[in-house]
Amino acid sequence: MLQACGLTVTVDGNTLCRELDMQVRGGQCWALLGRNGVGKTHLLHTLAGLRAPAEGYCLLDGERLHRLPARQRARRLGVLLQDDVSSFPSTVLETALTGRHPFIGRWEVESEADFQRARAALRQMGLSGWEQRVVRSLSGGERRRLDLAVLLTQDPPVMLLDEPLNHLDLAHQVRLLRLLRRLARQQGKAILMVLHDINLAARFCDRVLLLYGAGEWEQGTSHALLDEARLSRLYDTPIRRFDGLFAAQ
Amino acid sequence: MKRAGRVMLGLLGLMLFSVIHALVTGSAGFGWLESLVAVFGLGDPLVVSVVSELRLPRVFGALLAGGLLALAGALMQVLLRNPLADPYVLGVSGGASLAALLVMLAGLGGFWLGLGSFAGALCAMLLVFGLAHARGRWSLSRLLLTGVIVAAGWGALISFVLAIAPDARLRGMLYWLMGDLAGVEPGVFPLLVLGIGLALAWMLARDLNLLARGGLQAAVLGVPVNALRMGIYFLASLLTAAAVSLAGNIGFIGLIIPHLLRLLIGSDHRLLLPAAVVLGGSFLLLADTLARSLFAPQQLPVGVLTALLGVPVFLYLLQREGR
Repeated sequence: MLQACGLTVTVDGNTLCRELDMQVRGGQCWALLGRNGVGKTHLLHTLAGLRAPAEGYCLLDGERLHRLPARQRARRLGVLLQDDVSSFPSTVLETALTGRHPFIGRWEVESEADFQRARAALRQMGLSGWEQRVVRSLSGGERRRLDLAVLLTQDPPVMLLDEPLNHLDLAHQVRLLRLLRRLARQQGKAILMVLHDINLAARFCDRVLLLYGAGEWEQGTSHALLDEARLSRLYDTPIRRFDGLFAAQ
Repeated sequence: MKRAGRVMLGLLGLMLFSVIHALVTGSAGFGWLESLVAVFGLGDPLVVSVVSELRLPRVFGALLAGGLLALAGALMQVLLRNPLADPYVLGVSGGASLAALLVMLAGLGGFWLGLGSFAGALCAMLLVFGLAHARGRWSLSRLLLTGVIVAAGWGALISFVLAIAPDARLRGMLYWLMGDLAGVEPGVFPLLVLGIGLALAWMLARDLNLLARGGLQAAVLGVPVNALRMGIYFLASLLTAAAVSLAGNIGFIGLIIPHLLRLLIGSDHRLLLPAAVVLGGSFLLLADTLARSLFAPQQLPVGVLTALLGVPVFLYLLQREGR
């Protein structure tokens, strides 16, 4: 569904990722792992069509991603951004409804179906009953869940998530990853997310993309790639496996 | 949408009140009924001429200028993602003011004043846009910085003109700078600008809702962010230019009205934009009626009153929000 072809991402002359070839197919759940500042977010934004690649291109359902009109792209590909600061007061329901924007015509208003989708997404994120609350009154974790609800309301076939677990407590982290895995398996969504927890990545994602820095990368199944040697190199710190769980020394 | 209907109905009621209040208030001592029927050309010819030649143009002028400023302010706040932005923050009014003062210095007035200030505003708009855009990509912080700095430059030039202006012209200049609706001649042009501007802005209202949540988030949801930002910049500048050429630098309407409405009715621009136009017009009209009746027959520049009313309201809202 989403394909990178010889994709090179650079920032200020530094190459973050060199000639990446990968394919995120429907039904797959990918984890993008790497050190802080290695370029995970820039790569994610490039894969999302928000940023032009230095070289190479992306294909979304076989079409050149960066040539698609923004609105058409947004119907098929959704992104959870890392942080989101809103300056103006709006309610939880209004915010969730923004996910329907790419589907609503210029002269239309949100339909009953749009409201139902938004309410369902809020319910999935445990925000039921808070529809009329002002976003600013939410806690960090609640706001994060609202951002996720926007993405679920948008409901695109391809979902790219930048650190979706930020601000979430342990229970919500696992609940969210279960939901995402279910969306991939049952609804055929193509999902790629930036994660920092190797063990959760190993447990919930079938594929991984490792970003080592200086443009080097490796991709494959979690099973094949997540081992002590690779992870120690990835995080530049010794990592051992105890009872099936990875831990830094 | 029911709520939107109620809000607009309430605001239109307020507008009607402000219009009637303005028409029947004055130092001539006419009865209110007399003044009202005079709008339709009935009754004493003296009353008819005062109402239709003095009060009515002011009513239209105030409604238009207030509406233009409030709409421009609402747009500028979304563009800069800052609830404290106003139509003047990027220096459009500075260019207009300088041009207007130069026209007055040359001893011209009326038509030339409007034309000059409009041209000055357009020059200021293009200058800031050109400088902010000159090399590299369009960036918001660059636009804001450029605009604020250029505005400071206009301020210095305005002070310079005031310093060299002969005393006889100084009073007129100061009144213009503070915003003044005396002798306003609203033509069709500002009405057209307001009508078309509101229609365009309203068409983009849902995109504006998204842009208010941040450029990147808007882009994610399919908003062509750069094109939209450029469009808002030019639209808001044109609206400001039309307002300033109509009534000078009237302060606070463009800041207070959108902010007040965001707190009262939320930030959905489909409702906020038309509501801002109506409330902005009504507020300016009420302030103008006060300005000409408070110390009658002495008339205050309306800018003094909008600021005097605006400052405490704004501070109150700010305090309340901080809690």
